[in-house]
Amino acid sequence: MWKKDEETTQATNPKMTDARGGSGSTTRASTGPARTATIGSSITIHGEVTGDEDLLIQGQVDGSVELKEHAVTIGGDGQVTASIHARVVTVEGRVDGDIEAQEQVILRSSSRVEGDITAPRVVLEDGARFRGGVDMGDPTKVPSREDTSSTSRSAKSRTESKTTSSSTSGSSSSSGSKSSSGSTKSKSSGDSSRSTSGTASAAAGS
Amino acid sequence: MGWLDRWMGGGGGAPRATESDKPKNGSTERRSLGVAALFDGVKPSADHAVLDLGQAAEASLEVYGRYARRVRFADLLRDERRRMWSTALEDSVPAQPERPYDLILGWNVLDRLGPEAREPLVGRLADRSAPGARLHVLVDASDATMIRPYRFTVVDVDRVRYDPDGPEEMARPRLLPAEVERLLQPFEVVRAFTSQSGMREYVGIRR
Repeated sequence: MWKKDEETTQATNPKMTDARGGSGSTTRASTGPARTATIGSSITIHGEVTGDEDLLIQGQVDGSVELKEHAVTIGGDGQVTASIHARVVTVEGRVDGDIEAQEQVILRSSSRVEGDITAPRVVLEDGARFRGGVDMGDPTKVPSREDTSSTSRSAKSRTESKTTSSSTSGSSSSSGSKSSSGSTKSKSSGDSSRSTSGTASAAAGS
Repeated sequence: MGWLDRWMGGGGGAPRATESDKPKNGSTERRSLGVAALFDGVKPSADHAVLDLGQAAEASLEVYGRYARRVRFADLLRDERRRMWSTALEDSVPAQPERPYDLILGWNVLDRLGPEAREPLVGRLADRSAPGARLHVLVDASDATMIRPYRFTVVDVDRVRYDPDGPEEMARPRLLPAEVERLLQPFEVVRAFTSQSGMREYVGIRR
């Protein structure tokens, strides 16, 4: 059973500073107002993910992701079979499900997305594979391309700065601000040594 | 000076290619009278919906977004050989519960699909569109025995970019204009153009 007490923060661990969360752990930034939680590449979550900070998904999520005020990034190793609702959604990996963003959705060149997108701005990089619908709002109120591209650039730099400044937690841990209903499994650590089932939640960490 | 230099406008009195005409990784941009006819007179509306049977591209989305709130990229030919046709059709052109499509860009799917799939596809498009909806398709009218698959991007209301999308394929038997009009029966073909590249563009209106 996952407990908040298990959460440890290792601000400086050279082996665990991979911004893409390749360590297979669930991580969060320890300092500053800009915090990003990471679902590592060996983590599988079945259920609902909610929270109050940005999230980088390098693992697998089946269910739903609800971070309405924050940015969600599905990294190159991430696989999400879920509906995603956030302020900004950036996809580098694979998503099967609907995406709804209050500001914008960015599909990077490596992304594979199948589902419907609802967002006022959608960025589709060359090479991105997308099948589905896009609902952009009223075409008579579409922002200019300059507005869109500048927003895209700033979103990219913001995401990069956050992920590289994240510290990581050593063993199986979960972001203090994230709650997940359902089960969490670590594929790399055997059958059940790092699995939780039922509901795990915690208040927003600071 | 080689032909490529001359073509790129490098010297002499050769016509200078515009920036957008220069090939990039084998892609070319061409003026499309058919796409221009498709958009001609269409007024932006929050109620409009666009269906593109090809691959998603940001430039296309930007152009469609000038006219419509909802856009669907069907990517119909993706994994086509690995899927049952009926499954592919259901995945790619599902029901649009909120509103039928007003503008449909079919590209060259009639050429790429087998004869058994063409009529069900056009029937599905007719089901998913309202009377007055506009359809654009491309048909290869050249004598070539091999065709190169392309993906198409609308870069402006009258310009289309062709990007090679895989190795050349054996061309299927040519679709003659009368056969195309018969296939598109639910749509009345109101405009047709043949480009110098040998592609014939059809614009139809849902009856």
